[in-house]
Amino acid sequence: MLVRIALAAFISSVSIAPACADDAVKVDIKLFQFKPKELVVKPGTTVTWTNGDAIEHSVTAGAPGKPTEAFDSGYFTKGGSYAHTFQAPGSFNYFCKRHPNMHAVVKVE
Amino acid sequence: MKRFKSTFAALALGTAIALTGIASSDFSFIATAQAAPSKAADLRLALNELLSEHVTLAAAATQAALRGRKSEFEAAAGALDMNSQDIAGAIGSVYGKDAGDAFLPLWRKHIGFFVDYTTGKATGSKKKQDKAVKDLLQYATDFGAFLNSATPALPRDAVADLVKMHIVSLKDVVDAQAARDYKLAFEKIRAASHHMQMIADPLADAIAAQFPDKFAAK
Repeated sequence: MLVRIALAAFISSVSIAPACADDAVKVDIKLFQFKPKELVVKPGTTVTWTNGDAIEHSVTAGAPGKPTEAFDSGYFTKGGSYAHTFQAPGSFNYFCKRHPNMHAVVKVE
Repeated sequence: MKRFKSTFAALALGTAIALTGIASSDFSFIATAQAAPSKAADLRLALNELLSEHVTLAAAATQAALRGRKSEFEAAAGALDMNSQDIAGAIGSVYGKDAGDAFLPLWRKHIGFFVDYTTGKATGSKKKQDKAVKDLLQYATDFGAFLNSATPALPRDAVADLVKMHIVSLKDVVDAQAARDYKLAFEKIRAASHHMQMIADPLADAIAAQFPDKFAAK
């Protein structure tokens, strides 16, 4: 019984559930990475990115060389943040314009 | 004079580390480093070796590129990239694999800019050279920011200044190679190689102070 309880607790702790629309979803920018790199949210969710690096980063929809108009934070510095509300379902890749190796995705479903 | 400037910058970085992040009681790593052999000393040695090797291989690659020796350039560039992977591996071993993975493209970026600079020298394109220098100087700030994020005791601008000196010291190498002044080129290679200690030592010390459990005496 104890094993079952422990197993259930473990499973619930590691499962990745999409965030509810009401959830405050945060992405940290640290060490030139978006964390988490992949995020699953429900339509209507607002995602907030906060820059923890002492350098300008951007949160720009699309891919390096192929930005889209879905969203673009412009550059923001350490301690700054940017929020975007995802209304429609879809998979939204994004990257940092200054550091194109930084890229991640928000999946709205 | 440049050696003096490098030493001064490293001392400034050391002072800045002391002032910004590490309480005086946290300087136990110095004693740890002196009690050789220690993991802190191993770290310092490893970083010095890797960064010095970076200069040697970069100089070999730029020399081959300037003389149009394609196969030699490709071999040198391949070895240089292995060195880059080793440096990223060292970063990853300290700060975590994700950090190492993020560091590698950042590090490779500055090598790409040096390739641009060397190409500019080989083709006589001042515009390409200027663009590469501008990109390299911006890169120095990025590098400073990365290390500051990983180890807040390392001030971004102090690290960036040291990286700028690294850039200038390697640029001097390429300039001498392009001018076929080989005596000067090898003097500059030695100077650039020695300068890496100014980055490796404070970096190793700051890491050892940040992770005392990881770098305690053996």
